[in-house]
This record gives sequence, C-alpha cells and structure tokens, in this order.
Amino acid sequence: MIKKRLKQVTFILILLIHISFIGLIFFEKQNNAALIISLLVILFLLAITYVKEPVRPQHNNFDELNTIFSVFLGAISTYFLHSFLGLSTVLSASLVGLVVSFVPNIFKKYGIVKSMPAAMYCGAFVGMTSTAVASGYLFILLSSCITGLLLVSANGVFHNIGGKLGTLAFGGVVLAFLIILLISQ
Amino acid sequence: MNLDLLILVLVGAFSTIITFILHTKYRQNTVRSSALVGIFSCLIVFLFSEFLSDYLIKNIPLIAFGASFIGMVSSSVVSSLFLLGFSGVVFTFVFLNANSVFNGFGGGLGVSACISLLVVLALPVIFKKRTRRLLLLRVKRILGN
Repeated sequence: MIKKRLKQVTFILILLIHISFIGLIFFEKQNNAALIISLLVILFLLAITYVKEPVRPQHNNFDELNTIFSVFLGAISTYFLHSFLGLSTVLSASLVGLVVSFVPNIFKKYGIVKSMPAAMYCGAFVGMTSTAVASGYLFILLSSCITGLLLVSANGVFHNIGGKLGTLAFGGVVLAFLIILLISQ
Repeated sequence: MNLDLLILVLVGAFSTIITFILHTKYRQNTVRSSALVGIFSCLIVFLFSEFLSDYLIKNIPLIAFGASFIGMVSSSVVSSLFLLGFSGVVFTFVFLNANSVFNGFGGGLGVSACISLLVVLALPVIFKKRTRRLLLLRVKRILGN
C-alpha cells in the first residue's frame, strides 16, 4: 500500500517536473506566438499520454542503499571528469556510462550489479550539472541522495520510457538547489 | 529553415534511431547504446570542428546525447522507427527552446527527451480514434444510402 502511494507521488512529481519545464519556456518566450501554440499542442499531447500511461506496479529491482551509492558514484565521477579534467559534460557522462555498462558482464555472478548501470547513468546526469549551479561536492552528494531516493520510488513508474532517468536526475538537482538556496537564506 | 537548424534536426532524429537499433537489433544494453552515441558525437565534432560553426560544435553533442535517451525506450513501448525519428525532431525543438531556461542543471536533456517521447506516444492514440471515427462515418453514410 505504502509502495503504491509512493509510486503515485513520484508519478505526480514527474508530471510536475514536465509541466514546470514547459511552463518556464512559456514564461520566457511569451512573445513568440508560434512557439506558444506549439507548446500548447505539446501540453495537449502530454495530457493524452499521462491519461493513457498508468502507474504500473512492478517488482522492485532497486535496493535503496545500493542505488543511492551507485547514483552518487556516477555523479561524482562525471562531475570530476568535467570540472577537474576539463572534458565536456557529454563526453564525461558518456564515458561513465560506457564503462559502467560492462560491469554486469564482468561480474556476472553478483546479481546486485545488474541494476548498477541504470543507477550510475542516472547519477552521471546529476554530475553533468555545471560548476556555476553545483557549488561543490556537497551539492553533488545531496542531489545524488535525492535522485537515488526518487529512482527507488519511481521503479515501475514510466517503465521503459526513455528520458525517465534524466527527469529524475533533474528533479534531484532542482530540489537540492532549492534546499541549499533556502538554507543559505 | 537555416542549414544549422536542419543539421541539428537530422542529428536528433538519427541519434534516436541509432540508439534504438543498437539496443534492439545489436542487443547492446540501453546504457551502452546511449553512451556510444554520446562518445561518437563528441568524436565527430572533434574530427570535423574545422568545417562546423561554433553553434553546431556546441549543440551537436548535446542534441545527439539527449536524443539518444529517447532511443533507450523499450521496443514494447514504441517499435516504429518513424515515430522515434519524429520524437528526435520534437526533442531538438524542445531542447533548443529550453536551453536558456535550465542552462547548467543536470538532467535537463533527460526532461526534454522524456517530454518528446511522451508527446509522440500520444499520436497513435489520436490517429486510432480518428480512423475509427472516419470508418464509423463511412459505414453510417453507406447504411444511410
């Protein structure tokens, strides 16, 4: 029962992320009539898919602590690659993704590493945050923890839909940004 | 439509399709397929940087990598390459307009990719209903005559 409610909450959170994303584009580009019409069409089509796409209860593949740790590992390695080694954000995240995608092939005996590539790739998106937004490793730690929790609770929500990991990473980064902003005030 | 925009639209569509083919036909896992597209796009920009404008050098890797997230979709959700390609085009449109809004926030590419895919997933639903309505109208007309 609690798991089902959690999935519903995460579904609503993903929905809010999408709507606020489009809402902010509306707000910024309100003078462009063609763009506003296009965005309205996008919102209409999104609403249809939301209604069609139910919250599918699924067997939980993610172990909470492992997922959070994997997300953190992905985030910190990507952040290190682009902020210290000067690689581009895309190359950093891709390299982390490519390396971690071989982990289940190497450690076939350990079932625990099966969900690691997805979690670490999700973390890599968190690590793509620019140094202007992410004030340091503490920011990456906080956003990774939030993203990890979101990833665990979103298991089964928007299952097999591309971009889900990125949406959750975005949610984690924005929430961490808001928390740090509130604390600093 | 200027040439740079056309190139970006094509990059978006092809990256989505290539990622999808890599993980469905060549049985690579989704993370590897997407990462390979990301690395390959960076390599292309690096090799042909002399022939590309600054705008393309900045945006090609981002669009290719972001569009590759759409290609991570399961074949049980979408199997039409045309729909996937169109989703890549929608992604390019959403990303280029949202670029300044969430600049620097990790996951922005993923949100744009997810929105683009969900938008395209609604199309078969609409067209199915429309086709049904048209068929019903035709049947009614035939029966009326």
